This record gives sequence, C-alpha cells and structure tokens, in this order.
Amino acid sequence: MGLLMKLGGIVTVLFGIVFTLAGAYGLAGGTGITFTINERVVSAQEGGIVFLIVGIIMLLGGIAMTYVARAARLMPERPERGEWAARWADLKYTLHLLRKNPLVMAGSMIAIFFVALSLLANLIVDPNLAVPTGYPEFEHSYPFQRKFMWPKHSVINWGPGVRLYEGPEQFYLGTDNWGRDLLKMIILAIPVDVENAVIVTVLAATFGTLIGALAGYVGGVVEEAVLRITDIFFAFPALVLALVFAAMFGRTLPTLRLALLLVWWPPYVRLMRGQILSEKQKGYVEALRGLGAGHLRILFRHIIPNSIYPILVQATLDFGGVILTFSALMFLGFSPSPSLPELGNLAASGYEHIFEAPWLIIFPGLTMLIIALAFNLVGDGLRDVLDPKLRR
Amino acid sequence: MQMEDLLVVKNLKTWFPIKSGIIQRTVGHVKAVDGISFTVHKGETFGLVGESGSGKTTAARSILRLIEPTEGEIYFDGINVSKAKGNKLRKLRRRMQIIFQDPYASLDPRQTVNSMLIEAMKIHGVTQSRSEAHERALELLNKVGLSEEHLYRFPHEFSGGQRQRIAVARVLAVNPDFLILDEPTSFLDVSVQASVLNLLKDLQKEFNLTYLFISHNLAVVHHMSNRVAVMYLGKFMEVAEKDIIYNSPKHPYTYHLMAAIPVPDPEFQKEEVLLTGDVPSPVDIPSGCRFHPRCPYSTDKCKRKEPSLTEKDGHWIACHHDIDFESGEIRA
Amino acid sequence: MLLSEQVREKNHVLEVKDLRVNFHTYRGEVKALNGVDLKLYKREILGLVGESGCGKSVTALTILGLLPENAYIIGGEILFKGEDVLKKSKENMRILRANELATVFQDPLTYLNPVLRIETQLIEVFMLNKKLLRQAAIAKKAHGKNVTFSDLLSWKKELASESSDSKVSKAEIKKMAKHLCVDILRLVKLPDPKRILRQYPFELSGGMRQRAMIAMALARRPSVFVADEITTAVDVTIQAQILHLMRELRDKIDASTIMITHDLSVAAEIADRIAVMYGGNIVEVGPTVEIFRNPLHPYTTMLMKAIPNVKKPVETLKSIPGTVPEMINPPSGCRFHPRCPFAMDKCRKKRPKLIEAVEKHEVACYLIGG
Repeated sequence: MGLLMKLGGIVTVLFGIVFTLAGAYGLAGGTGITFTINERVVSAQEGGIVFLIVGIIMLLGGIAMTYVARAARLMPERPERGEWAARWADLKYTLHLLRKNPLVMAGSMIAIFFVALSLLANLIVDPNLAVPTGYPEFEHSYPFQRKFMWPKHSVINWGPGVRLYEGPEQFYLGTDNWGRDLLKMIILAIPVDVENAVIVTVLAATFGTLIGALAGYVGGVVEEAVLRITDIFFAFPALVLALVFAAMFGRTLPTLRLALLLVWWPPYVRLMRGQILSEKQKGYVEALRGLGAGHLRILFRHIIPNSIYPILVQATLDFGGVILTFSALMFLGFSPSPSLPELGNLAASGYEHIFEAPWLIIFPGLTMLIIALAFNLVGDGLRDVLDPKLRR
Repeated sequence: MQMEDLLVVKNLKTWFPIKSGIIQRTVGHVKAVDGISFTVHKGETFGLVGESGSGKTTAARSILRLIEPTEGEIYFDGINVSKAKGNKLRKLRRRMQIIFQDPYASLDPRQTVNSMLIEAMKIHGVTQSRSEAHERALELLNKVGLSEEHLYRFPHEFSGGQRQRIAVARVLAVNPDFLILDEPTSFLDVSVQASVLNLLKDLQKEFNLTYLFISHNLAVVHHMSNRVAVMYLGKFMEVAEKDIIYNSPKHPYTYHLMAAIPVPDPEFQKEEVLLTGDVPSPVDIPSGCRFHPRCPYSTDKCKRKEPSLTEKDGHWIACHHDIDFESGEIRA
Repeated sequence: MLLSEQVREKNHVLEVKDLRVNFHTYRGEVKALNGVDLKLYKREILGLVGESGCGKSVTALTILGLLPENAYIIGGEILFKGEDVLKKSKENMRILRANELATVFQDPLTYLNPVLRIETQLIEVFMLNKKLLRQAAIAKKAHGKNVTFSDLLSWKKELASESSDSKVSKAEIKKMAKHLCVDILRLVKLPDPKRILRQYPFELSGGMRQRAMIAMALARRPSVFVADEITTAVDVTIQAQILHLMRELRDKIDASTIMITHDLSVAAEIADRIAVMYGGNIVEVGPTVEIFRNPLHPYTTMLMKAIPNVKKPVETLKSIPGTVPEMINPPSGCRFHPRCPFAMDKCRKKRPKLIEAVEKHEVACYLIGG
C-alpha cells in the first residue's frame, strides 16, 4: 500500500512538472494556436493558464503524497535486493530463450513496431486527412477526436504537420476512392485496430480468466453454473450478435467492441478452468493447505500466477484474431462510417475497385496479415518459452 | 503409559464414493481407511507401514483433515480435530504439520525460498516485523543445513534432498509440535536419504517433536520409529514396539512383509517366504479377515468373521489364530 | 562356479570399453559417461548399482542404441559377440534389439501400449521372428506335439535352416504364436494367462504388468537382458516375487542380465557380480559376496554405511558429505574426490583406472594402487 502511494506520488510529480512547463509556454504566447474545446474557441493564453494551475497543483500534491506515505510508515523497508534480483534473473532467462528463435524475434520486432506506430500515428499523419475533402458530414467521424491522449489539437501536435494538404504530394501506395493517400490512411488505421484489439482482448481475458479461476477452484454448483453460462455465450455467432447490436445501438466502434467482447471471453474461461483444475492437483497446493494457508491466498498468490501463461499466449494470439474479425465486420458493412480509416474498412471500400485499383485492397489486407502474423509469432514463441517442461 | 498422548485417533474411516451412471448414483465406496484407532505419545516416532492400497497416505491426510474423514474422532492434545472449524482449525494446523513425498512437487516453482519461509510465518503470525522474519529465515536455513546464499533461489535450482530440507525448514518456521512424514525420502538417493533422516532425528531431539513416519521402505521405518503399525486394506493388522514387529511378529501379513525385505548382505541366509497374489484394491474388500485370500494359514473362521484388533501387553494384533511361523503350526 | 571359470577365461558376452557419452543441453555439455569399462559374462546377473545421475541408465541405453538425439558418443566401443555395436547402423541396431538385446523398464504402465490388449502386443513380438515361428510350426507338425517356449529357448539361434519342402500356412503360424503367448505367460508365473491376454494394461496390477513386460522381453530369446530399475516402483512383496522370478528364469534362459538398481539390497539379493557406478565411471566391480565383505572403494564403503539394515540397526546413518556431482562441470580427476575423506593430490589430477586389486575384484582408486 505504501509503495503504491510512493509510486503514485512520483508519477504525479512528473506529470505536474510537464504540465507546468506546458502551461508556462502557452502563457508566454506560444504560436497563436487556437484550440477548439466543445465548440468554444480558446486561445493559447487561456489554455496556458489552466495547464499552469493544474501543473502546480499536481506538483504539490505528488510531493505531499510521498511525504505522507513515509510519515505514516506505510512504506515498507526497501524490498530485499535478493528477492528482486532473483526475479530479474528469471526474467532474463526467459528473454534469452525468446532470443534463440529467429522467427519469434522477427515477430516481436514487428509487433513492437506496430504498437509504437499506433501510439505515434497522430504525430506522423494529420488525422484531418481522414476527413475526405468535400464531405463535411464526415467531419467528426474519426474517433481520435475523442481520445484524450494526443487529441487533434494537442500541445504535442504543434508543428508543421498540423496544417497540411496543400499542393500535390507523393502517393506511395496510391490513393483511395476519395483521393486520400493510402499510406497515410493505413498508418492512421493502425491505432484504431490496435486499440480495438487491446480493448477486446484485455477485457475478455481478464473477465474470462477471473470467472474461469473461480469456477475451477470452487467447483461444484458454481463451476457447473459458470460452464453452462459460458456455453451459452459460446453459441453466439459473432457476426449475428454484431448485427443485432448494430441495429439496436447504432453502428459505432464501442458497440462493435462490445459485441466482440461478448463472444470473445468464453474460451478464456475454459482455458483458465482447465489450468486451475490441473494446478489444484499439484503437490504444492496440498503443501500450502497443510501449512494452513487459506483458500484466497492459495488461489490468488499461487495457483493463478502459475496458470497465467497459457492465457498470455492465447491473448497474444487473439490480438490478430480480433483485428481480423473486426475487418470482417467492416467488410460486411458494419463500419460506423465509410470513411473511417480502419484496415477492414479500407479493404472493404477497395473491394469495389478491385480490378481498376487492386492496391486498395492489397495493401490494407497485407497490413492485416503482417500484424496478425507478428502477434501469432510472438504467441508461439511465448508458448514455447513458457512451457515448463522445456524451461528447466 | 506415563507419557502424555499427543494424538488420539478413534475408529477413523475415510470412504470415497464411487459414482456411476448418468445421474451419478453412488454404487459403492472405496474404503481407503476403514476404521483405525491408535495413540501417539509425545516425543515418540510412530511408524506406519503398508503397501499400496493400504490406506496409509489417506490416513495421514485424514488426520490433518486435508481429506475429510467419513467417520471417527481425532484428538490432538485434547482438542477435537474433527470438529474444529475456521480459526480453530488454522491454529491446530500450525501445530500439526506434514512433509510430503515428492520434493519436486511440494514447492511452488514460482516462489523463492525466502518468500516461502516468510509466507509460512505470515500465515500464522509467528513473527512481528520484517527484519525478525528475515532473521528467523536465516536461522531455519542453517538448522536444516543450508546457507544464506540459498535464500533467494527458486526450487528448480535445488536437488531433491535440498528441496526436502527446504520443506522441513518451512514447516519448522511455524513451531509445530507434531509432524507427519509421508514417505519423505522415497524419491531421494541413498546417501541423501541418510542425511535427511539424520536431520529429522536431530530436529526431533532439539525441538521435542513427535513424528508419524509413513513409508513403504521397511528398513527406513525400522531405523526411525519406536513403535510401528502395519496397515492392510484400510485397517491395522498389528501394532507393537518395532523390535517385536520386525523380529517376532504375530500376524502372518507382518511376517511375510518382514521376510520380503531385501537385506544388504548377500551371505544372510533368507528363507524364501513368498506371498502369492497381488496387493488388492480397496474397492473390493474380502469378507471376514481382509487378508484371508492371500494368507497361507487361513481357515473357515477367517473367511467368515473379521478379527478385531486386540491388545496384549502393548502389542495389538488382529488375527483369529496364534501361529508359529517357524513350524507353520497353527495354535489356537 | 561357472562364473568364476568364465571370468578367468575371459568368456564375456558383452564388453564395454572406455565408453564416453555427452549430452548437448542448453546449460552446457553434460558429460554423462566418462570412460565406462564393463564386462558381462554368460548367464550371469550383473548388478549395476549407483545413485541418480551416475550414468547407469545412460550406459544401458547406449548398449541398446536407444540414446536420445542430443546424445553424442565421444569415444569407446561396445563389443557384442565380437562386433562393435556403436558402429552399427540404426537398422542393424533395430534387428539386434529385436533378437538379442531385450529391456524391461521401470514403469510398465507407460511402456506398454494402453490401447492394445496384452495379446496383441505380445504376438507382435513373436511375429518379429517369423522364421522361428515357422520352424516351431513345422516341428509341431512333424512331432504332433505342441512346442513350448522353454523348448524354443533351447534351440540354437544359428539353426536358421529353412526346409523349403515343409510348408506351413499363415494361420498355423499365427496359432503357434498364440500358443507361445500363453506358454510364456505361464513361464513368468502369471495366473490364468488366457484371461490376461485378453486384458488391457491398465486392467492389470503393477506386478502383473511388470511380468508381462518381462514376458515380452523374453519372447525375443535375448542374449542380453537389461532390467532398468524394475523393482523400484513396486511394493515390497511384489518386489520379492519379481526377484524370485528373475532367479528362476536365470536358470532357464540362456541369457545374461544387467540389473540396474539404486538399491544395494536388491543387488545383494539377486546379482552374481556388482558394479558400482559413480559420476559416469565404474568405480568398483566384483562378485557380490566379495564386494560386501570387503568393499575397497571409499564410495562403496560409505554407501553401505548409509543404508539402514534391519538386521544390524544403528543410531545414526553415515551420510556422504556433499552432493552427487553435476555432470556439466564434473570434478577433475577422480569424480569422487570432493566428497572423499581420503582424497590425495593425485586424485584431483588424473582419474584412476580400474585395476584388479584382489582376485576378480577390480577397483578404481589410488588408495588401492594405481
């Protein structure tokens, strides 16, 4: 608990420093940039004041937190160096094993590249470009306008890239039916896909794992109930469910994510339950019970950490799966907006022009393939590396 | 007996139901432990021998309620173990510990030795502060013959013998009074076994521990125990001081068991005393005396009536007849 | 008696000379066998005794040609009937395993095919040697009497003459095989062989499975029979039965047995000679009685003191200090020197060779010459 507070304090302080500096810059006049927040035009100066104030508060608050933690002795003595050193050595061994397989290394590199790309996409390409010129109704269709991390008019996006699309440029991958540069669209599409994959996979995995762990450990009626409910969800076809949701709640990304989520968590339940069942039989569980450990401790501190590896592997494999399924949904016409940069959507609109402009479907498709393959390789590598029989 | 009785077991039975059919009806029971009664005195080592299917492992776990017994009463230091619940049970668990057979499975592969020992202390609130716990962990490691450098290692970095020592250290961390040792050296090499057995004996003297020692290795049980019980198909056939059991047993099963022990002395003339048939399974227990199908001395009475465990001068035996094994003569 | 004559005349069936075997693992090269010298004489039971990691199983696997892929034979030879087995091709080794070298392993449950009945598996072994079956069938036709397996055992292997005029049908061969199955199960003292043949391995008890495996090994009429820890996983009464069976079979079959075990008491019961292994070497070998009466190598002596003996109880067992060596970085010179109370400088430098200290009793230790 104390450690958390200390960490939280440090993070807050860091953010505080950043905000303060940003605010100061804005206050000093900046570049005359204006923001649009909820249809109200705000000048840099006003924004700067806000940032400055927020920054100073965070600074002070963070420092206070660290002091409080120490004063209340919530902070434990420094964790013994030996313990962490041991765990770090263990991790290094895992990484070493990973390094031995060239395919896995390639996959990991590519996967990391794509994740980095998804975080930086906004910096490389102006999201405005997604809005096809001449189609003002698509003005707000790009989801990243709502994203808080690097909003369209964020401080970080200052620079020449913001105002663009003057004059002719090179189109490395061609343009699509709206005249947008395909390469740039693909780059913009990657964060959308990666975000989808992360959200669906992480939520499905977490939820499914917890339920599965409960079912597996408790057994009896609870297990049966959970299994039956999971079976029901297993029976849902993803596409039909997406159709129903789309009809009921409209075609937005969150709706589609929800639909996929509902269909994606059952395999984790089965997986985790199986793992728990086999771990339960192992000697150390009995030894811990003999020692007097309670069920919660055994489940959360021992069994789950030992069973988590197949879940990790499955999750990485599912990354690619979610992207592909999303693309399928887009292809079938579930996209929130036809101009949304999303790999499946791009491929879908490219499908119509497959004979005149095959690049429209080839390149987005290829990108999907590479992403899915990369994560698959990572998952395979993880599975090989984390197999306890091969490890020691 | 002047020594106090630390553990009293009365008519302990552990039956596992066999379910079959679509609606999972209980069609029968595996009577793993079918009524055993005994006492263990403070400070002694009570040996329990038997072959596979005898129920000794189940009995050990039933005493600690790792497997819930079906019937019977267990008293530890006067406290009723069978009825204890929640916190009371946890307090009892601290005093009654167990070392398992497989050193490769009984340690969580993701925990360091340090973490294991500290966790044990945390569960029972044995120490107050972290530094005190750390001190004690080092002390325990030294007691079992390991050193500080072993504290931050993972189980897979140790050999079988060392892992058993870690298990012993973990168990000692909570200051128990009573230790069940379930085949603690079966998976260990001979030389390692010797050192672990010596360690157990030393610890018993130092901490005044009481042991229940289970093994199928009769020579090891003989080395460690004061009194020995011979178990067959869930019941005791004979219980006595170890020298009587090994040298002048009265039950035919005990006799054959002892005769089957290989002796590390090629010149020792052993008579070929072989028991026919296989070790039976506790699903289908024979009528009358459960040993009668394999017993070369069985009579009609043995088939019909099950003998009860009766005592004579501290020697308990469950047999209808009094047999002289040298001559094969059945007296009484 | 016969054995001592053989030893004197150097009449051995199998000879292992300076065998060195390494394993490639992630952690490094495991130097499992470090120059093993072993002789196996006709019709003897040789007890190969050692603790885990000493290399006794690896020795057996090398003789059989069953080493895993990451094993490399660095040097040495294994002479079986004059030929170096290590130089044989995989196919030839397979033939050798089918006819001359038989093994029984520790855990019959995993070594028997769980989805086939005992009969199927046993017949398969017999059918490997159709020539023999044909001869047996011909003999049955000729003499009108059914051939027993014990008869087959006495037939010389070289009797491979095919009398082309006597023909026997496939059905008759199959029938002969079936009959031999029943007979061989009777030989290993399995009650009610016909019923057992129809059962699956999981329906048999541990002891019965072990006997079934022994039967499958015998069916090939081997010259060398390797038993790898066959009594380790069974109860003490079953172990006694199996040892008794081995003793009986020894007189009936014309084979030499290598009995691998970590239990010196088992070796004492059944072996004619004992070879003690440590750290990939044979450190002492000799007749059983001699070894127990007069153990020469410090390891052997300490090992004997570490075993609890029911007939001679002690208060404390003498344990051997230190641990079994890790074969990736084994100790230099004599592998035992870090744990040996008598270690001298030269023990660290060079490994002592096996020399005959007393008649028929060899030991590899500088304390006893060398």
